[in-house]
Amino acid sequence: MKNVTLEFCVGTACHMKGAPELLAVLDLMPPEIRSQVQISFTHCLEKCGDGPNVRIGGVVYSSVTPERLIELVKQQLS
Amino acid sequence: MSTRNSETTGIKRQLYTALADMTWRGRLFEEINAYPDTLVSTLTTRYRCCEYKEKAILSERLRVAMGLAPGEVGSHATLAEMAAIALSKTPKSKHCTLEMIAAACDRCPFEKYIVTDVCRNCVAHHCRVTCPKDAITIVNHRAYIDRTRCVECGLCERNCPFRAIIQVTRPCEQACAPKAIIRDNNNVAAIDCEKCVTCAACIPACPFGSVADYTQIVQVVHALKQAAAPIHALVAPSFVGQFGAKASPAALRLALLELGFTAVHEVASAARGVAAEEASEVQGRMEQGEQLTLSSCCPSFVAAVNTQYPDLVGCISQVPSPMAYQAAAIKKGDNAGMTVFIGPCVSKKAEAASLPQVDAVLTFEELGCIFVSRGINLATLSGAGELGDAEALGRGFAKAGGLTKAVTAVLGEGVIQTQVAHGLDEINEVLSAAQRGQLQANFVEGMACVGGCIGGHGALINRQVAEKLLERYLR
Repeated sequence: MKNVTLEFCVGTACHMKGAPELLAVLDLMPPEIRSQVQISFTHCLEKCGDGPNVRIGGVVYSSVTPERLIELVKQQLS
Repeated sequence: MSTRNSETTGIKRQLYTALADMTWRGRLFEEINAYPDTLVSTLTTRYRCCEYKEKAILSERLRVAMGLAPGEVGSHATLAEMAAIALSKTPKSKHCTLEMIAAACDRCPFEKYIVTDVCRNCVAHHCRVTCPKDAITIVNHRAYIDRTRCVECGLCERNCPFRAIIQVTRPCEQACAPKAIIRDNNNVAAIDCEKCVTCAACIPACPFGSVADYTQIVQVVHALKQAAAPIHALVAPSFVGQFGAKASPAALRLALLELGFTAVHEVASAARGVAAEEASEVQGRMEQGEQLTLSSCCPSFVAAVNTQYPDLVGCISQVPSPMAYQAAAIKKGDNAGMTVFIGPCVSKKAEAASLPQVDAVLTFEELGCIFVSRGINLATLSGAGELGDAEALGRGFAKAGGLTKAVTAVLGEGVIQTQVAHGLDEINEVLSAAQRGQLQANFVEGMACVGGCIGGHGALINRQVAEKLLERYLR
């Protein structure tokens, strides 16, 4: 089974731009998908103006919305 | 706080951060006139009819963010002139802290029942037949409601088999429990300050972001920058987790000191004193035959009693709120200077307006924007210790029931009957019962926000998340 690791930036700039809403998405995922998602937190991904930022497989995604995050997770798992 | 970080919230925070940034750099007067142009050119989505309207609304938002009401600036004042007015005054809060920005209001339909395109001009015409006031006629092959006759009973809506008639309420009106939203002659929404209790429910309710609260961002940043006198940060108990999963209480203290605050105080440390005074007030009143005491911590609750339950005004406790209590203690000390209350609450801005000991109020959201403007990242600040020296009992004030718990701890279990009411709907139920003399309680803790202060509109995280973090922190 495939796994995906999401690195959430929880720095203050990303926090103000919507990081909490991204973390809330995790609770809404179906259990079978949630079990394939590992999460970790990072202090800064050095794109503070474009937050919220999430790093997946070494790639930093910026201005991530909850909808986009779900899409990215689906892509990684397919 | 709404569960989604909406686009209106995003724009608001962008403006707050930009204002703080310009003030730090000492370039506010030079740069603010051009700022709406700059921002409009970077926005990828156009929200309004044209960019001129967009800029006009942004200018109004900047005025409100600088803490200025329409009457305080000339009708043709430039933003730079407004900024000069904002900084020339000693920062002071306003009694009416919310403004319906008239230019931003989209004048949503206010007719309660509307016939939509779904109407098929059927043969039965249940709408017309059931209307008790003969308000429905058929115009252009469609049902038409004569507003002069309609009494908004809703029978037409319920009886249309196609559901072609819908009920519409303006989101601001729907959100406003004290019914303080009115309409001006042009059908633009407005706030009746005599009825408004500053619960701020209308701010997230309006999808156009028309309601804004006055802030003291530029005034506080200016004072921090000048550092002419000591500046005290008084942080509300609900701070736990507000600045992100990796921001510890110690990190918040360090970040505030880095901004230039002289000292950081936990308002929760005033809780012991407040609870003790509240307990003796309740007991004292009971000895005099006054069976009911209403809490005084939440300014919106106090305002709701004052405006809607005149018979109960005498029941409001005379004990100062924790903010008032602690600010007074600081002002009496040797190192008095400026006091800035920081919390999740818009209503505290209104309360502070009548308190000489509180100079300014910031919400967590406004403070967060000030941190961002300085490039301060709480997740990278690590330090030992706490935010301040409060006890768990005081930190529990952040949640509905916390005050009651502290008062009960002073008096002992079972000495008085208590009732916690949070959210204005619940408050109305409890106060109505009290007014009818049907409430079995000696002490009512009233909190206008559902969940208590952690559910405040100036909070940065979801209430349920905040509740979990607070419970963990208090253990």
